[in-house]
Amino acid sequence: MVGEFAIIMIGTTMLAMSFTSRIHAVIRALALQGVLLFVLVLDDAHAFDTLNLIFLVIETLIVKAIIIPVFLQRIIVRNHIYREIEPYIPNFYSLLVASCILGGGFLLEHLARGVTSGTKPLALGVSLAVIVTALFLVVSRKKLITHVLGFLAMENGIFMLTMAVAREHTFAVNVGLLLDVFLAVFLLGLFMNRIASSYEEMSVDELSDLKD
Amino acid sequence: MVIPFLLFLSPGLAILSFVTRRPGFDRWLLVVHAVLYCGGVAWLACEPAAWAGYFESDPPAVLVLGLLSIVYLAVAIKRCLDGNSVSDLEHRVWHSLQTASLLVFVGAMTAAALSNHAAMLWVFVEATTLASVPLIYASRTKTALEATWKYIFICSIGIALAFIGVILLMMGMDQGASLYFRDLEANAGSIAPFWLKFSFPFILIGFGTKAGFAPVHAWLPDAHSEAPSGISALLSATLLNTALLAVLRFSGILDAAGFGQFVRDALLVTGFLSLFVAAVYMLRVKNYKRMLAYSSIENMGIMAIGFGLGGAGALAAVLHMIAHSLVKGAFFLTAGDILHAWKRRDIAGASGVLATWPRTGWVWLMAFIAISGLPPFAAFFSEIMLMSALLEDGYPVLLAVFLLLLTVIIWGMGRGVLSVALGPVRPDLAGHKRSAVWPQAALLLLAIGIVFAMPQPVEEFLRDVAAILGVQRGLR
Repeated sequence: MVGEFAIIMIGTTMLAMSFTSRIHAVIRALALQGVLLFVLVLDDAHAFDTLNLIFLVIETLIVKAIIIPVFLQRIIVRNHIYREIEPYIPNFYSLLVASCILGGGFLLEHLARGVTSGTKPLALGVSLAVIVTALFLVVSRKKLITHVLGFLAMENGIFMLTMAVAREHTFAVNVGLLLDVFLAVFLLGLFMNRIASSYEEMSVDELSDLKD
Repeated sequence: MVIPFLLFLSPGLAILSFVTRRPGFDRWLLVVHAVLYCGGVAWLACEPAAWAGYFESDPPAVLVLGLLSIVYLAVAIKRCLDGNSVSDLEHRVWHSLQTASLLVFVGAMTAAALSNHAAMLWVFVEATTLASVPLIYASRTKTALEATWKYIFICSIGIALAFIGVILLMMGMDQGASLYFRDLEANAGSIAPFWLKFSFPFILIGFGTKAGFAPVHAWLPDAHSEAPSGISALLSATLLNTALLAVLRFSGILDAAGFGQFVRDALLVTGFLSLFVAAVYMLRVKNYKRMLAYSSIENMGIMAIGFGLGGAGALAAVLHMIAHSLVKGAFFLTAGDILHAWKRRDIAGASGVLATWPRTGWVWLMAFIAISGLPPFAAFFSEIMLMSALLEDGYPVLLAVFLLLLTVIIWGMGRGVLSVALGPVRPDLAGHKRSAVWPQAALLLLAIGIVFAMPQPVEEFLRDVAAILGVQRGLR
């Protein structure tokens, strides 16, 4: 019950992300997703051994809910990024699309209910909706920092997806952690620093030297 | 023993290179590594091996590693012959980081090709992205940064989608079921069909991003044009093969479960879409390294079509993989020579190569003849085989489309290649130090030799690879 509540809340945070026009609100939504994923881990705690559980708690409650949001805030402050999101399409339509995707997620849950045995259909439907919405946010926003934010939301969706199969295949969760580490180190740590110092506005419009 | 040797040699030498920080030493280190690596792969080809449960050599892995070792050897020798002296400390550190990344990149591709476990394969394909990032950013210019950012962002999304595909596959399996490919194929019938079919598009798009399939190819022309040419040669001739191998390992599971037709349709659509995108861009491309990158997209499309058809088509695709790797390696190395002397990436700016440097010009023209599928090069035979396979399997319309797209591509590419070779001569380059051409010439000769002097065991080996990778079992 608690787990299902957390799942639906994560879906709702994606709606919030799609219509806000402030970068800080998106970062707060990401932090909230981290906390909700922690609730999801606790709900399934008996499926993991102690070591796995420790890693998962660190990953969700410390990395996703605290370290990454703080780091993003610092990037924004240090690089003087203008606080607006600058979408290509109006926020209202963004919200409309995100709602449709979430509806599609629930539809998928309905379809999957018949063919799945051990996995949780609600987590599956909503996590795929989160992933698709995040990809939509990536392509509909101008700023590079919002691309990274969209990417992190997608990561959260994937984390939720691995939680859906965690009871059957704990192995998947460990590999998923590896994906997160890969991104945290590369996309955020190394590359944002370089990109930030080379491109002033940090918008995709600047990345147009290479084309045919 | 040979598998740990291949896997640990690369990171070991990478540490050595990073500790010593001497570019002159690094160049020889790469050649020594390439020679040892070739020896290791030859050993593996004679004697199949397995190690640590997760790594195992099978004919497709040996083929991919064989091509990797040959192209890598050519690149290492070329680097050694053409090397420039590097003096100041900052450049030395950056240079040794490059060498170390290149070694780790080769190691990651080796591990990916040898993985016999779905999750391990995914991990090592991810590792190839990590290792190749410093290689693409080698020149540290603003455009290189743009190319690197696009590469890492697009490939990360691809890798994430592939991960979703693996998770969806797991959903259809029983609790704790094994993820080894041989078990997955053996138990394919017991995986829930809904999840099996649901996972494949994610796998195809995910690993297809790294394999350069359209429409998720966007990183490829940028990365290939900005990376140093030796790296472009390795990306095109080996990384794309490794990623294609990953796609085909998963498609084997669907094939074994009786969804051969589903996989065939998906691969045919992907292949023709890649050909179409390559044809469209080939007509408007202004940069010769990007032109070669679009040609890689085209050739990956041809391979996807061949493996999708299975049977004779798969054999054609295997031969085409060999032809493309050898020729594209030679082509990119030659493009690098031109870029080094002319200092221009645009087709209009780099012209008159044949008159200024006859030997480089001839290799450039021969590489074009080889890549466009004219005799006596291997691509001629593979494309003829593929066309007859299309006809035999009852796709005459697709054959017509295939011929049309190929003609457009050859026309577009020929325009650019001939302009570079025969355009107005730049007199100021007459005294420029000439670059070595024989590594490229050797690759091209190999692309002829492979068809005219193919030993019987090699032919049987290629048939084995085609039988394992092609879609053929239980079409329905």
